[in-house]
Amino acid sequence: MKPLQAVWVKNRVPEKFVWKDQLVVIQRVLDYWRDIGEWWHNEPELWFWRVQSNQQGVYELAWDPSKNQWWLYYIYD
Amino acid sequence: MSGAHLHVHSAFSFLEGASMPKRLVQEAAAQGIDTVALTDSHRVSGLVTFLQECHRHGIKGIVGAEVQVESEGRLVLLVPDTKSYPALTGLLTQAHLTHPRGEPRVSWNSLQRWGGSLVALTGDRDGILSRAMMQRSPERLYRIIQRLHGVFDPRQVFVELTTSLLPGDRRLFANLRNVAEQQHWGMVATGAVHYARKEDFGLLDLMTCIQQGRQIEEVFGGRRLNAENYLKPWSHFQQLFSAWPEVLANTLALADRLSTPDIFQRRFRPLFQTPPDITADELLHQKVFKGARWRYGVKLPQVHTRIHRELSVIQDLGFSDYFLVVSDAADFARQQHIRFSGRGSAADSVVAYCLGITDVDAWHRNLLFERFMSRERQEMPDIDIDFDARRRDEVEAYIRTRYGSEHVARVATYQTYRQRLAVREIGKVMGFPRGELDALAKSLPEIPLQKLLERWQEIPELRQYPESERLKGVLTWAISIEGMPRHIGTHLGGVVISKEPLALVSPRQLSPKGVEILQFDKRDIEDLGIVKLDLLSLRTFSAIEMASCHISQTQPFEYDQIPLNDSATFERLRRRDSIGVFQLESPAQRALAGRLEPSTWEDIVASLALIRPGPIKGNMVDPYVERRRGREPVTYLHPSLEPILSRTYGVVLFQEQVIAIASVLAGFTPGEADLLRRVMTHARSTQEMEELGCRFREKAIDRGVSKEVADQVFQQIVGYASYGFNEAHAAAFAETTYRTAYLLEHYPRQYFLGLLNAEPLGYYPIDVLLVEARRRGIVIYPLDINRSGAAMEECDGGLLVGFGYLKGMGQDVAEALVNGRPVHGYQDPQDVIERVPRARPYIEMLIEVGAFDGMNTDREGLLYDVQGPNSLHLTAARANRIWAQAEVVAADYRWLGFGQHQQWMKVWRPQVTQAGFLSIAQIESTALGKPVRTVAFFYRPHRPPTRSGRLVVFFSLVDETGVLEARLSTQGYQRFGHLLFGKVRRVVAVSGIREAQGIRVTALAPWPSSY
Repeated sequence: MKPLQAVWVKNRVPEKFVWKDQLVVIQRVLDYWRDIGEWWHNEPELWFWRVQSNQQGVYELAWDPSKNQWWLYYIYD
Repeated sequence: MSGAHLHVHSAFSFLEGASMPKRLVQEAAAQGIDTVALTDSHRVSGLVTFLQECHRHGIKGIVGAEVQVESEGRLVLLVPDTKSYPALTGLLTQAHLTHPRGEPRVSWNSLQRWGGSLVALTGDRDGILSRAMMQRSPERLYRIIQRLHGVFDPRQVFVELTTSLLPGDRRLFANLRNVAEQQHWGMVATGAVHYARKEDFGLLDLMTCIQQGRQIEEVFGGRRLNAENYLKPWSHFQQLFSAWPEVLANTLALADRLSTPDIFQRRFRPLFQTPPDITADELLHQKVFKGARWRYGVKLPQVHTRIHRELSVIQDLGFSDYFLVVSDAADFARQQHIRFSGRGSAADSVVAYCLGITDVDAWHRNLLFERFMSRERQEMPDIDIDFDARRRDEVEAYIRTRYGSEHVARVATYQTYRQRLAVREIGKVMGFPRGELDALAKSLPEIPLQKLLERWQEIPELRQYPESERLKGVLTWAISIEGMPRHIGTHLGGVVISKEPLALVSPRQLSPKGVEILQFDKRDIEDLGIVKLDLLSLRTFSAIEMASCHISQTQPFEYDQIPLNDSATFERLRRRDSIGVFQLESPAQRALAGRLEPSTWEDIVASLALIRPGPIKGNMVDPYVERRRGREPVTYLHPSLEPILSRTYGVVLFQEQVIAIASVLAGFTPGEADLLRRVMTHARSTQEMEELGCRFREKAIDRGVSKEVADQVFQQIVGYASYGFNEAHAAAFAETTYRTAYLLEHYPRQYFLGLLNAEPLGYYPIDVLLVEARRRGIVIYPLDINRSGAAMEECDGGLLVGFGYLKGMGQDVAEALVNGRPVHGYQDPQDVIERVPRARPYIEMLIEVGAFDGMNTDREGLLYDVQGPNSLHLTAARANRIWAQAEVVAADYRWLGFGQHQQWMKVWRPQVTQAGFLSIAQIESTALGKPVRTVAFFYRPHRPPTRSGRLVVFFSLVDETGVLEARLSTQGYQRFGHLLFGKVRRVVAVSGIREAQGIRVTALAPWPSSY
């Protein structure tokens, strides 16, 4: 889970982001969900997007609404 | 239309919903949602408050339930209109009664039978379609689709898309849409709601852990991934389903199509089969006047008007059949010699007295019928009858047989999360060890958890816990679950009887006791128009019957002919020597008796009303006692109050008096006055109370009462209305109270026998009853394998302990031991095992409590024989080894819970005396104000509500010489409270000052210790 510094968002949906100095343009949102985490340890709720890039890469992005922090949660090989 | 929620669970889904129906509706109202369906899992129990709250907020309330269809998955069933409601109750009844308790299932067959008129939604991830899809089983999916077509018209089935925001939703929704299009089913959107607001999710998550028996740190299936099952605003639906506008349109159209079933307008009353050509009204009239001749004889003409007035109300309100049914049940009990007594407000009725339902003569006592029933109130009458606990079920069985099982059912009760259970279950889920939680739960004072949290530092037994911050976390969550329903149970005695099948109004299910119950509690059934009769169990009647039976064996005796003015009986009460007397044995009652010095029947009636939290908090006790004893003048605020209050020395003690005052002083009709009393009881705001006061004052002034007096009287009745006691109830109980005091005075051995065999009952445990019995010279013989019965029995002028008292030994094994005993008696433990193999698990226990002492006092040897390699080959009797007294008595307490050989402290008396401690008997003869010290058992520590709100502890000290009541001040509680609550030692050394009620404790320590 790596923090993302630059994410472009439209209507609360990510459109593109920078990863390893590369711009990744999202072509399609494959799935979207929310996860409450370990709430009893005060973990924040995260919003997840599984997206496909225009390069056919599949990524899971997570957003912490309480801090407006984006993360790259997972990359599918 | 501004939105609809068609799939909503409340807390009545038991651990599947974290909000009460009322809160859900309030939340919907706040969001402007205008249709809500309550769809609890397999039940409709939340329906009444849900629909009432919907009505209050102008929301359309839809009725439904979520059901598990065999092992396929869940369906949400909605009732489209009033006539389809019984289809849901029938389906739910079948689901509960044809499957093991706690695992209701709807079969396809019962869906076929009842489901056709209902509307089906296909559910969320646990739904019938989603599960088949998630399991990637097209065959199963196909089969389910065909089955659904077999049950429902396509216009009745809706594929459900939820706003749960779970991974995989996109693919699932696409699959569901394919099915809907192929099958010509509509699609709707739901929130699959399980709690009102997002922040309530934590409670649902904890509930899921409780339900699964897991801890919060564990990862397990069935636990929700996110907090999205709250009652979402419709705008969220619009946002989430922006690409699916037809789904939202369908949802609103369906909500529009469904209507609220009208279940409140019907009346479910019993039908009493009358002979031909006579109506229920006529038959009741005949029976009542026949009874009146029996009750009043020549005085009947004086009662005529009153009886006619009561009958007129009963008939006008349509309750003649109900009274005939109750009267018939009472007649049955009388014929079967089942002891019973009507209590509660029914004893305000002369009709009930004439029908033999109660023995309280409302006419003689001038009790107000309107407290029981009135045209103005139009509520269901509620008759409570206590029966001998051993035989109560015979009466219910008679009623079931007479009116048919479709027409008779028990009322449910909801076991709610109360303070201790809430702390135990939440604490367990949060990872606290069970032992620690038990100790914590036991040590919680009886105040709301919220207050407990606020006053943490004032409670010594809580302060002592090292992890107080973590415990506070437990308490915080426990507060949010407190009051929520945990499971359904059987109401103590509530039985409903209806001429219409009860299936028209409620599903039935089995309670944990295996009794068929409705899904509604007593408040709900009244709103649903169902009339209830309370058939209650009273163990004291069992004790009385057993005592009477034993007395009659040796002398002529009629319990019902006991003289009602026996001076020795009153003298016993005045001495505060009333442990064992029904309702008058508690420390508070005995203390009151010492001050009130009862000498008349009315003193007993007053005592029963005085020792209640309300009168104590309202400071009624002192004025009453002072006036009764002639130390304070009896005055009345207005001369017209004298006839009403003279019997209680000018003090307002009973609810009936409040009604009478409002009638006489302000001209309310008695019915209106009772309504006023009820409103006063429930009024919560100052404004509401002021409005009532204005009305009272205006009416009183119109009748010539001065404003000042009207104000003063109103203030007085406001103070008492909320907690004043029902005089009819007190009078009914006083009957039993006096008679048990008489039995205790004149037939102590037989009465203690009855009490001990009717346990558990009363305030004090068996150990205390045995101390009291011994104090009266009654010898207690310990268990004897060759002499004891299953129960306590009379023996050689004393009482012989029975097998049934052994911990864990059921009545069946106890009886088997007696029935299996050969004529010449058992020879040894092996003989018992051979003859009664079921008793094997209890053999060591029997040896340890000395049941074989009569044949061999070597308990060690006997234990060795049954446990060791020589098992079944008893060695010859050993040398005369005898256990030390302390071991003997410790075994008694371990396996019986009381000292059958002697009370524990007697063993230690020489040492205790040598150390300078007094016995309780010695303390009782010590002058007031003197310092005293004792070592004793303590029982029942409690922190009752006090007027000042301070925490004061009361507890009972017991040794072999008697019982002494102890009081610990607020400061004392801060120092020693932790030694009385939670994990504590039962024997304490106590120092204090002798006072009239017992002892004011100044120091306390576990004993033995370095005290």
